[in-house]
Amino acid sequence: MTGNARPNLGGLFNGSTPADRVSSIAGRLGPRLVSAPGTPSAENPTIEAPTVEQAADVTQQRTDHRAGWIDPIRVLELYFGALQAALDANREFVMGLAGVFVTRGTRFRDGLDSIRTRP
Amino acid sequence: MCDMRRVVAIANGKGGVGKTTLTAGLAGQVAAAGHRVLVVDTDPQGNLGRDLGYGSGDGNSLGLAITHGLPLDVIRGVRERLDVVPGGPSLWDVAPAFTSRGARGQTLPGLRPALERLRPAGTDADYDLVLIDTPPGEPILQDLVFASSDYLIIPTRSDEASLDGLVVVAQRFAAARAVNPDLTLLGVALFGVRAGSTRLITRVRSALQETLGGAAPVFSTSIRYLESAAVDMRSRGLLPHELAQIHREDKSQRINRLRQGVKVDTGDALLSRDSSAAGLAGDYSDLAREVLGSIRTRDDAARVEVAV
Repeated sequence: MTGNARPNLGGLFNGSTPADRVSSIAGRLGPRLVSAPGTPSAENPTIEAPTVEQAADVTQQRTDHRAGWIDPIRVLELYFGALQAALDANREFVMGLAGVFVTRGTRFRDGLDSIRTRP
Repeated sequence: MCDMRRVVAIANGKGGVGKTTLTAGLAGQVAAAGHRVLVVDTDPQGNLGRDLGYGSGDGNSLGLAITHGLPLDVIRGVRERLDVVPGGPSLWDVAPAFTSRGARGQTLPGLRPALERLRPAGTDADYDLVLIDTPPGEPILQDLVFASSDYLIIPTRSDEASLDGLVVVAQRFAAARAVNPDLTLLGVALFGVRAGSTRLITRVRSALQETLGGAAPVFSTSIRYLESAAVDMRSRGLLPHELAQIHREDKSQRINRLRQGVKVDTGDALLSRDSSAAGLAGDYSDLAREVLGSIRTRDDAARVEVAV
């Protein structure tokens, strides 16, 4: 949209340039109903347009996109997540090691017992 | 608050420029601000249901209202003060009906009579704003919408291809004024630009203003591009201000989880960041204010013309 050759569409939008086509529904619509109460009419100049003030009421506290680059809660979550993962891995390793010692110790004792009880 | 409805079409001759997302976001924002809003989905794809979270429709009622003048089925209370006439695949039948009956010299009711009969439930007041989402590649449906609208908003992206869509919609707009002389271009909304790309936005806005030749403004608020927020919103049927609200609630829940040492399940986590969602919600809020302000300015100008 930043090129040099741009059409000027102003005339088409403000009615000074005729369209090069006819509306596909021209002549095919039935007669318009009498406008229901409250529908737009140039003869009713006293009606107020929607106010913009209420829209301001729901305006979000706008945060600069770049200001929130680092999410501190996410950093904490990652930190505690990594810590938890390290602790879990440590527990697995130590428990595994303890299991090996216990198993081997039991086998060693069983071996000694079998030697002692050999006739 | 206001006894007079305005019918605003959201259209562009090109697809994928944010028509449906913009329609849903604006409607939600204006309804949240206290106005009564009706959204009409004239797209046979019926994607508005995803944005607003009401699921899918068949568009049958809308199609029959256009071709036979039958009453419209309305989904009431999609949000507070927000009703929807759903679109869907049945709208593919509208164009053939117009063509065949037009060839026999018969006329069809069109969209306007059915819309004029619709009122919000539980109140004597009328809708303040009717927003109509249009399909890009259906000339007859677009022409029907233009014949029933007071204003037009054109969403566009910053790429060159979007300009082609602008030319198409300009021709259609000019042709529609033969049927509906009151149709007015309210403005062009720049959609899907990367946050912080100020130079690009300035350049594109300047190019658009030159193209429009002063016929209407380019809204000063542009809607930023946020893929993660778009995925979050469509997958959950949330509007931008609702996503921002969920982020705020989610933040306090996450802090509590950290305090209690509860493990975080990231499977269902939001993809977007809270600051991004808040920024996006702010864009829609600003644009809604601009649109309503622009309607008021145009109405004031019309009153002066009538008085003169």
